[in-house]
Amino acid sequence: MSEQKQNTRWKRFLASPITVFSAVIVLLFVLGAIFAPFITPQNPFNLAELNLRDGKIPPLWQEGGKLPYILGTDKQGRDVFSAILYGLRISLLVSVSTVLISMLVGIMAGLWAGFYGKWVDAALMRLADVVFPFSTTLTAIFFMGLSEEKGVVPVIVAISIINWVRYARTSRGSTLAIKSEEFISAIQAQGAGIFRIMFRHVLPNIVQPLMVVAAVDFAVVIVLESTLSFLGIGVPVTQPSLGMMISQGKDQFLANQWWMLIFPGLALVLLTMGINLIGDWLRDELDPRASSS
Amino acid sequence: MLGYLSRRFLQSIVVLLIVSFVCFVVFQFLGDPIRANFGGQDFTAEQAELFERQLGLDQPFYIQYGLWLYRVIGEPSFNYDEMGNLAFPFIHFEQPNFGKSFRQRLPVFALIMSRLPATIELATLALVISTLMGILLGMWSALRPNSLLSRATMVTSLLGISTPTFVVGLMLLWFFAVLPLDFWVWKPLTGWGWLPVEFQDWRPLSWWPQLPTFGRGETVDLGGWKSGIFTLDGWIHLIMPVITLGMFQVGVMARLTRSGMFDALSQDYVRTAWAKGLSSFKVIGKHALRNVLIPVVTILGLSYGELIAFSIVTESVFAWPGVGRLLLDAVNSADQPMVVAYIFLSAFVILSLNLMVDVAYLYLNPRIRYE
Repeated sequence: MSEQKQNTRWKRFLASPITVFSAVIVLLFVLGAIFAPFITPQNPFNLAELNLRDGKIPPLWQEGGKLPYILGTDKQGRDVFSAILYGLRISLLVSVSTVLISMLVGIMAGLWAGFYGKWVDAALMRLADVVFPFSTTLTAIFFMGLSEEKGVVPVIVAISIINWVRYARTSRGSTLAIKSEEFISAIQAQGAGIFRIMFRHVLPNIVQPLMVVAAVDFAVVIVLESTLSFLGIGVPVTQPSLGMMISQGKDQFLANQWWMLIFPGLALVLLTMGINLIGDWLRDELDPRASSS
Repeated sequence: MLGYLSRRFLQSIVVLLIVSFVCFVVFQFLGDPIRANFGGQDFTAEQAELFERQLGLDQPFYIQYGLWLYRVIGEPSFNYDEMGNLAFPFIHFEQPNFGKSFRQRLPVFALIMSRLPATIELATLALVISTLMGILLGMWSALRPNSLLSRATMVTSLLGISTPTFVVGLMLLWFFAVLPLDFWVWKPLTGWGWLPVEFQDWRPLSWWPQLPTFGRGETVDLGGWKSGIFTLDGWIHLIMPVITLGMFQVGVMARLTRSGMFDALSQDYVRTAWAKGLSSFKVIGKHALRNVLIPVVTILGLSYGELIAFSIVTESVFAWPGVGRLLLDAVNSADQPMVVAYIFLSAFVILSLNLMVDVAYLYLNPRIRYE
């Protein structure tokens, strides 16, 4: 890509205040999660640091709030602010690894099916038809329901198990379009091997549509992980996540101790909304056909 | 056309068989049916062996699977009258037999059926209302893109897509159950001391409704089908769960319809329809909308899975006594037969609804019909 094209894209990005704002928010969340141990006043999941007497403290600006609990504490004396940042770590870890795994598997399958065709292609398309109506959410719930183990790794597996099909479909479609272009026949005529063609020449050309899928997928997976944890079939209590916090805050919530639930909920919505807005921008940018707005 | 439908039908059968096979494997090999049936009590080796034979566990694998499937589909048995002769209609099928719940010690299928009406009412209402609303809002925002309602729709639909279902539900609970109780209605406005004395006792939002937080409210029994839609109390209980479940769907539908409508309006056939002097109702309602509905119907077919998944979440937030809660309880108590039956039945529901969507698709899209 030429430098000039990069430049104008950067300018268009800066010209869209909503996108810039979302990018800043998402960046803040990511940085907060990475540097959580250095920012937070306590490690909310080290039981030795918790003080039961500091339980149910409201946020700082309300009557009864006290430092260092900016956003209040839950009933076990856990600082809500710290718990949110530690929870974000789990959410982001699950989301990034799920997207990477699904993308990797999906690209492999899609490239192979698109390029090789024949029974591989037929099998992949049938599989895609079959699993699509089952939805990632439902399959993940079923998988976690049947799995004896709970934790970060099972959640990642449960979500990826169907999620990769979307990437496979997208990369298959783009591969088919690229395959019929002349430069591929030219390279083939030079005697390049199938792997060289697939990875050196086809792959770079199908990355853009995949990026749009991936951008939205980050948000989808974060929501999905939090849903599983909220239902009590995701990560265990010992591994904090936003969904888990919200599920625990639910009991106190009806007694109007709202901060244990509203703040993690707000963090979750801001993060997913930010990612979705960036995804929208990316789609308009990379796929001019779809930009009807 | 028939070829297309029968191909889809056969495909669904194959998928259902695969799902049933996975269910069977899980059922048979992940759980310990003998220990489960003895209720965790001690038993001798002979008892275990006898029980194994009774359950058919000593049979080869494929026979076990066949038997399991046979019971799930429903065992046929003959009808006899008092004289011992065959009586019309000669044969009937038993209820599908998924075994007994480890926890509740009752047939799983009957338990699920007893909880089904609550879920069907909730899901159907949510799906119908949200789809109609989404299509209307999407059309409006394509036709009048700069109006206030259109802008609001786009922002809300983004919010609807980004917000997890359980957060939507909990926010509703906050606004309609927690705040009215504690803050605006009953308590004086604490911390508003700067207001004149006569205002401090003022309840600005005393009209704010307070909605019930759990359950279905008053239901009417219609021959085994407990329905909440015939009582006011039932409707009041439905409000928050339906909004929670439908929020996501409204967002998806509005966005889809809007972009489809934009595309359709710039097409030649729509321009021709305008040029012919057709009324705007005919141009938009008949010509444009028909093409917009094709992707909408596709997404509708794919959204049943999501709907079932999110109904589990919604039922968990509002303690709604439906099948979703049954599944969660079963998962938490490792009640394998229940989980397996739920998975099998939801696969069945999803696949049959998708077949119906295929038929609707044929009606909407002649290109497939004449293939």
